[in-house]
Amino acid sequence: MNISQRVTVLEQLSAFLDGQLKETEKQQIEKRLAQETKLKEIYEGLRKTKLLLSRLPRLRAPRSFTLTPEMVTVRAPRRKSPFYTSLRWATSIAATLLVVLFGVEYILGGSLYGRSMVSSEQAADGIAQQDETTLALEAPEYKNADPEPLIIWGAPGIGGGGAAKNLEENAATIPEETEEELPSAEGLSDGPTDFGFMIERLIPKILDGPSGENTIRRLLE
Amino acid sequence: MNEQALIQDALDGNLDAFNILVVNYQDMAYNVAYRVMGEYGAASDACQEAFISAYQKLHQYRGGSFKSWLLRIVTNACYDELRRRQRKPVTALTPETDDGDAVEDPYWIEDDQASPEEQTEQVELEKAIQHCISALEEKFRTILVLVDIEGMDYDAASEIAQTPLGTVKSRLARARLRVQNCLQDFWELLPDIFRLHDEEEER
Repeated sequence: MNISQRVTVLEQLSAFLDGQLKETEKQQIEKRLAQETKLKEIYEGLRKTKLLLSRLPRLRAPRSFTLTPEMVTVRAPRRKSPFYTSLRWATSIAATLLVVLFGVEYILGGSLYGRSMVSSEQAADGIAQQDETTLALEAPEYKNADPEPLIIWGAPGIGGGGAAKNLEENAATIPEETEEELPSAEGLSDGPTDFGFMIERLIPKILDGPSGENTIRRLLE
Repeated sequence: MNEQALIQDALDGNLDAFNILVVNYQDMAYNVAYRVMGEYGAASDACQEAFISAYQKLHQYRGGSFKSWLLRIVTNACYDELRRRQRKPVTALTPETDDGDAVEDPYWIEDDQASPEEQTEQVELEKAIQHCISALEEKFRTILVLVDIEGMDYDAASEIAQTPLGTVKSRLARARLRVQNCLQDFWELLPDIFRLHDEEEER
């Protein structure tokens, strides 16, 4: 007899003891009990145990458990604020996402991290290119401008020691309305070198222009 | 006044009506609580909690056996109290021996019908049986207490323990076998058990 069969027999004997078996099962057990000594021993053990337990004295309550009005005052459940509930949900979701993220990262063995780093660099390049494009688009007057600086340091006659040729070329890149206000190259070359005067004249014009901010940024670069 | 009328009055807020129910069932509730928990103080605490809980949850009573409904609350209170005591162990105020047994049990002192020898034998027997009951897992213990000590049928035990009938049958059989095996350790220490059985069998 295997364990399962023994358990089944034990349950049947126990139920037989309590009169909880169907008539057919009851007859089967009675027949087996008459024939099998071992089964009879198990049954007797169960019967004596039940008898012992039923003979235990019934305890009386050591005191009265009657209730007083103070005892049954309804304990109002503490209401949690909606903020607390939503915060708890948010924290749970965040924690779950973090675990999932770390899990995925762990499973992929860091490849995701590497990829994300590359993506970040590409994204940074893209942003830089976009910035440049945006700058160019926002300042159409400078689209074809010479990349050389607007102010030539060292130009002869204007201080800074630059060449007169460069000054002429750069003068062409300055917007017309600004150019009108500026002293001529000849005047500059002949007159005294007054860089401060030129800046004072030039800066307000640039700032008043349609793309003054971008021009300042170009200057700073 | 019948039980259903008392329940209805209690539902209407009549605490005195509920207290009549308490008086009617408190011995049974305490007996079950003690057999499940094995400690007088713990059983008392669990009982009090159970009656308070029963009053507060009385609107959840859906008819049927009030005794079964109440005992379900009592056994749940016992489990709660057992878990609470496991988390925060307490020291008994009753004098105890080195083995943790109560030196004097007021219940046994009350029984002035028995001789001192008989009282001692009863105490030893009671302790041995309770020791074996307490050694059972909770799920087995509850079924054993309800059926073999309280004398309930399988249906009532199933309802109280909220367990299917087949499971009740299975747990009860195993619990009986375990208690039987456990009591083997006390066979020589408590020979009176056999004598009582022999007397019982002779009748």
